[in-house]
Amino acid sequence: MSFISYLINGISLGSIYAIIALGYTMVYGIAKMLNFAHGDVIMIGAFVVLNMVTLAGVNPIIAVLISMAVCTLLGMAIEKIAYKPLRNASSPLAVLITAIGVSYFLQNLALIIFGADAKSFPNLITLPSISLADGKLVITGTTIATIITCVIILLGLTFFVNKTKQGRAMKAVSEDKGAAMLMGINVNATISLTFAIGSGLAAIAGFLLCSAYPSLTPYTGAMPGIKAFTAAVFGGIGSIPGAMIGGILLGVIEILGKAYISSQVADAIVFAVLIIVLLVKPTGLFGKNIQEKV
Amino acid sequence: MKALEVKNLCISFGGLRAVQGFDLSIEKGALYGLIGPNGAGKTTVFNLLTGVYKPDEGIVKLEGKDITGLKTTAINRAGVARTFQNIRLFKDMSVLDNVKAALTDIYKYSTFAGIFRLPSYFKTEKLMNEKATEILEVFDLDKEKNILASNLPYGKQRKLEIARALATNPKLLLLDEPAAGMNPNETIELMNTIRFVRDHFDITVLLIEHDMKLVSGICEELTVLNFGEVLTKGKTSKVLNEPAVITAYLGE
Repeated sequence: MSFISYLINGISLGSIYAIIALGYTMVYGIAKMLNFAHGDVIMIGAFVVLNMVTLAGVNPIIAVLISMAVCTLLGMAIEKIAYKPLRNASSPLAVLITAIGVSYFLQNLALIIFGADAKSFPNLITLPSISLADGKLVITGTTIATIITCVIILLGLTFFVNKTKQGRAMKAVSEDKGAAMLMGINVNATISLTFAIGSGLAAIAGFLLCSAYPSLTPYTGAMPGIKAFTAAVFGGIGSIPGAMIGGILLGVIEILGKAYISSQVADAIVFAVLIIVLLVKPTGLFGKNIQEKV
Repeated sequence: MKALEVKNLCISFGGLRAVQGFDLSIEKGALYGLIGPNGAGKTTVFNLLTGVYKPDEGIVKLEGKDITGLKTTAINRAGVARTFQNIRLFKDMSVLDNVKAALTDIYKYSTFAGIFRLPSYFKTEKLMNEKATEILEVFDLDKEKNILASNLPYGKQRKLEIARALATNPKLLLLDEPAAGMNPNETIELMNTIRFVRDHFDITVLLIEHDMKLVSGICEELTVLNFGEVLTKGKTSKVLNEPAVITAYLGE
């Protein structure tokens, strides 16, 4: 029974990784860059929810919506100010280094505004726990909410990308930016929208992450950000189902590793699995083989 | 009225003068050919006309409106659409979605409406489907509209590229070697399609082609490019018989 309990916890943690990984994978797919500041947007999102609820006394649902709006604008601003001017830079390293710079900037900004000490995040998810098998298996409301949210986001995003004109523009830009421009697609707006959606989802991820692990510091987003990036690579970067499956597998591996092997080396196990997957299938689980242009 | 007027277009890459003093004047509704040996700069001209490259000098006017130096997307919106020498379809998207992607900027609904499936989403998507299907019917591709573009046979991929370009509602259509890799039967079919497209959509067509059967079959006038400069221009039958043109193609 404890195995099932660990498995559910793993899926729950993995769902959070998956939501974050979607932001990495969409931005990579469309703007062909790694947005290493994505993890820190999560942290900002969590701080917005925390302060809205504890200082302003806002209803938690409205606080999350405000946090989504703030992160959406933040993501678009980061893209516009930091990344867009470098989009045609001769080396892709320029924008990568900038992303790392933005990451540190956000962390230090949060340090100045919110301070360095860990804040305890209130439990805002009021769903009741479910008790199964005579109380041997308890699933908390947070876990249920996390998994359901993740499923809704995956379905919603899949629908959006495949069935709306904005989604088609995203796919077109991701496949061939030059041809998309020549077909009248506004590439700048499309990339901006991608950052907006990824960052809006990051706000939700921040809220869910801090609901499950209720301690918030300016560095809270860094490690989940790296793990979600790993999940995106694991699933095949650029692929939406890949990010989802990669995230969930990563969460499950991490929790089972902690439970059955050692909580100290759980992270090492996660990254070891990534290395093995990439050795066997360099493009990740759902990645496409990149054809050499001749 | 002139559909396209180009004066003194120049571009260099490093020390290489790819296109020098290029002039072109095309009447509205014409079927015009741009020919020349390999490396003459034909595709470079297309890239200059569509904003992929910014010209060092020169003016490009589309139906009297100056479009020189505009961004690619803006030039497309002004009314220039093109196909590519090496097919550049959105391969992982369906045939229908390829055409609908080109309709992105013509039909409007907000992202909000798209996410929450508001009535405007359903209404506009329906219009887009109808428009895209109508264009695909012209090219006899409507039966294959749900398969991936990469799974179409080669000849049909070329047709889909033309369909996608037409979806952007152009005034001027640029075709870069539309008959490349086609067999003689497909080429004849393509010639009919190009003529039909010009009449049906009421547009002007400028095409690059090496297949002289196609060129002499449908182009009313030609410009011959050699080493980045205009060698000669005029009526097709006259130009193709000029000794200078034959020399440029076949050597002395």
